[in-house]
Amino acid sequence: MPDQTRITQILTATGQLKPGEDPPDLETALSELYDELRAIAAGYLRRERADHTLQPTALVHEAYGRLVDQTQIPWSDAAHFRAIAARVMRQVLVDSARKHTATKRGAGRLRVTLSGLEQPGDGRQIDMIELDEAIEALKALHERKARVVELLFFGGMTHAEAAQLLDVSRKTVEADWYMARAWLGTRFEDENDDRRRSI
Amino acid sequence: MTDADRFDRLSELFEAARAVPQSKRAEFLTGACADDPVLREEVESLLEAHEKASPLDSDTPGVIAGRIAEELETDQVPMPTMLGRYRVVRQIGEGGMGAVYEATQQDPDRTVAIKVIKLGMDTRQVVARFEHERQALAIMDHPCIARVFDGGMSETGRPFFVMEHVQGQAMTRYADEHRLGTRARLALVTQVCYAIQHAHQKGVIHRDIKPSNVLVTELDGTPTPKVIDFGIAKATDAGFAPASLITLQGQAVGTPAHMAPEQAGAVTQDVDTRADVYSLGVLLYELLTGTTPFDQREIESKGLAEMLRVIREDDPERPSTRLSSMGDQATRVAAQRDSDEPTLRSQLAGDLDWIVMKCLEKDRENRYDSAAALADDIVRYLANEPVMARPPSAGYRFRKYVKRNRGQVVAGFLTLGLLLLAVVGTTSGMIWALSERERAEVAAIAEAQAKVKAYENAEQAKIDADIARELSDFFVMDVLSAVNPARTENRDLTVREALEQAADRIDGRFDGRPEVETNIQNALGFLFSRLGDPGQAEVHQRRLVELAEITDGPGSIEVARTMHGVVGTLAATGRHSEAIEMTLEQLAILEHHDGPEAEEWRIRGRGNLGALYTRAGKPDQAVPYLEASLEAKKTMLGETHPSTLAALNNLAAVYSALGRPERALELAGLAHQGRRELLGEGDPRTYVSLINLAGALVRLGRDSEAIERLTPALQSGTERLGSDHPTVVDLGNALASAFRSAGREGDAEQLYRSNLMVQNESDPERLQPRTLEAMRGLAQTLSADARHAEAEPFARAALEGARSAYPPGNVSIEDTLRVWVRTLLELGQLDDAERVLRDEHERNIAAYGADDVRSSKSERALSEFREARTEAESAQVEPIPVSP
Repeated sequence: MPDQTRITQILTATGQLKPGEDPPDLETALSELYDELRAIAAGYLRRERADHTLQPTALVHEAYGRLVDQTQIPWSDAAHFRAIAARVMRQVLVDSARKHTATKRGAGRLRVTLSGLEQPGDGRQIDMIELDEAIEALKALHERKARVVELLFFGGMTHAEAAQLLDVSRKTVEADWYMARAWLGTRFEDENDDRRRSI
Repeated sequence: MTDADRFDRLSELFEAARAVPQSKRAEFLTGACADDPVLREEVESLLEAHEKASPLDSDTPGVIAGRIAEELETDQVPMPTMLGRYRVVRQIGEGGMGAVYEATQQDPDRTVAIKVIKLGMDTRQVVARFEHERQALAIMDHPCIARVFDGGMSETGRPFFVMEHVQGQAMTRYADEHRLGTRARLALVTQVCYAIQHAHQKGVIHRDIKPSNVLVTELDGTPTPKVIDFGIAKATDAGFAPASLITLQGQAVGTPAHMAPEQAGAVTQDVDTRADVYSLGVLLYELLTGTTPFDQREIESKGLAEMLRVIREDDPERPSTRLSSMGDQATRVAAQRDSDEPTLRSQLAGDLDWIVMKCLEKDRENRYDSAAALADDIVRYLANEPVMARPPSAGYRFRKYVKRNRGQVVAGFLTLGLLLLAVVGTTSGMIWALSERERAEVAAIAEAQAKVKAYENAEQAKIDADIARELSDFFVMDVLSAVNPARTENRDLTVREALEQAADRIDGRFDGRPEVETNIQNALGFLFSRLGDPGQAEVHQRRLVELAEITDGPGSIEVARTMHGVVGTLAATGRHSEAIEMTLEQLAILEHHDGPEAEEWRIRGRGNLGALYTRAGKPDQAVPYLEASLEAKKTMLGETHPSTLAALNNLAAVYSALGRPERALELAGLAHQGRRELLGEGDPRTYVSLINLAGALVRLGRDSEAIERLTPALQSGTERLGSDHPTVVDLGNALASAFRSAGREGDAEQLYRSNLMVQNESDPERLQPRTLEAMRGLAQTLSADARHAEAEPFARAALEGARSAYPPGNVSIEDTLRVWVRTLLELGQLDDAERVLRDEHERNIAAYGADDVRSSKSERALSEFREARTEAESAQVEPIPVSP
């Protein structure tokens, strides 16, 4: 994760940190981001019907747009911001899934659709907590692949952007992504076998 | 092996296997995981998973985010009765951005449409932005633009916009329901373009052009488009594009497919009028094909990240291609356009494809620079005038060429070939075979043009035009459109890959139309050979021979003509005996034909045989062909023609190699004189003839004459061409050799060494044969000076170099081998010498078998050496007989 100077730079550049003021610690910055992401999600719902899914990546973009004046920030900072936001987004989502599971004791974890084209509950569903654990397992095997998943899936980055951020070739990112995608696919395959459908 | 290591191994195999075609995967896996069935199973299940849905394709996070939002915000929006001073009558629409109401205004008394934005958080900002734009919106006055009257904030704090109430249908729907033909659709779009242009001139960008924002109403029975929602996108856009994607997603059209790539950026670029040009292109695409450039369902299923990537990076299919790929649906689409599928497709192919694709360029610099420019081009199309859409690219120029010269297809292909080569850069090293082939191509152009002139009747012209179209489709669509230099840094690779891919698609595609395939194979053969890929070139050239047998019959002149290309490729790759065999076959066919064309090919074939025998190290067999070829050239082209002079020069070299220096001297003298007059003293070719001349003089023992002529030439050549020019290096080697022959070892050594120095500094690849010659010459010079130990490493290096540069048994290898063996003998290293000879023999056997002439030659050398050695050794050990 990018260091605290980045956060400071971003906050300073956006005027949220006045000159001479002590920079907030990373935790504070992240918790602000966390709150912001939740708030943005709420904002979206006012625009969207409940039957329309929200893309977390869009939330990340939105958060970035709000917190940062893009024209002032070099790409690398923007990328780092989005890398942080991607991680926070993942956190927000997993926390929510956990909370939901806790409140619905015995009812099992929330399963949601595999495709935006279907109504929730209509298609094959995956378990966010399980996915989170699977990504952690992937991280233990190959950290960069897990990071690629985070950047692309939660951060909305393109292959090219992720490649630049990770300082690897786009081909590498692509290979990482396909491997991660297939590997995670095999982990989820067994229990959902009967309801699998092509994309 | 740790889990991580195993995972890495798995990743590698998975990636490698993905690259292997499905049909060969099993075989690949068997090879790769032979010792590890578990690993194989894992790779297989990954490959299976690769084809299926993965949790990463899901929008689970989106659903959870939605639930989070739901938990935070649950209020519903009831229909308001009043919005500012407007009385709401009824709800007329509901989109992701908000509800649309019909409302009445009292002063002036009119019905308006009011769009209420469901933004919640940004209300103040939206209203402020709208206020900012209002000025501009107010001055827009165009019959095809719905007026925006007002904006405000509702009691519940939501921003709304008051617009002219337009009763109409979304443009695409109107066009389909009224079965408007392509031209009528285009006419409608031009109106929209001019309306957008009007707005742009007032400084307003729409940013959200799509069918549902372009309504069609009928004014006095005439369909009139009206663009609605001007300025709203800007006012509501939070300034960050992906946010507005969500807005779009929620709407009836529900697709970000109308959005320009720069609007889909991670960091928003400044969006200018050309974003609207892009969206107009999408609208046009939809009107023409019934689909958006990127399939809505398909990109939506990929999630936002992928969606953005597609918009920014992927090139959509051309409209005509899309129509071909949509299957049954195409029939319906065509019917809605009051047409049938083939007609519609041919209507789209070409100009309309280009117009649309120019709008959809990723880089806005490459789009039309204004909406008016797009409209103008559509009007040009409607008036059957040439459109401006086509970029000045190779493909475009080629296509234009084909259109202009419907019949001159072969010539057109060469143009394409040359253009392609201009893109990739020509291959260096114009060797004999290549220039011969080029001549053949020039002949092909002439031939094609002659054929074209013969096509007098209309039917033939039509067939020809069909061929032209298919060919240009194949090359422009399949090859050139795949060449996108921006995609890869290695442009050469891209062109080659594109060609290879295109070549893969030929199989069976042109069955029953050998004329078409002939032209394509011809071009492919030519291009691959120019790209330095003789292997691929040969495949296409051989197919060309087969096709000639089909079209013109076995034994036809055409068959002989096509063989020429194969011969050139075989010669270029050093497969001389195969080339000779084919040339003999070619000449046998030509024996059965009369007329000037057959005669011309006979001459060319004989010339080839001469050169091929020379290169194959059989100068004695080459001589009669070269003499015949020279005579023919003298008669047909004249004594002083460059080609005649080249034949003279080559023949001189052959006589020199055959040990006939008198004849060599005579011919080289003529060649040199002719070239000096024709090309001038300082032309490399003139120097080459001089080198041959000097070589003959040296062989005749006239060393001083050779030195006299070469010394000033070396000096002037160095001045004119530079010391590292190959011909200048040749001059240096020739002079050094003359010095050596004259017993001036000191001068020879100095010159060889300086030549070697030059070559070390410059490109070693280019000068290799010359480097080898200098090394060998230096070894000989040192040996002549009895400095054998010094000579030996140069001789050895020269042989090593020759072995890597030439095929086994080559004359240069033989010569160098001889020098080295002699040096070893002088040094008394008899075992080493024998080993070298044995090694050489083994190489020849491995390359050609025991029966080959080269193998028997090296065998003879080896056995002679052994005999001599045994004799010498037995002579030494035999006790001196004591006389009684």
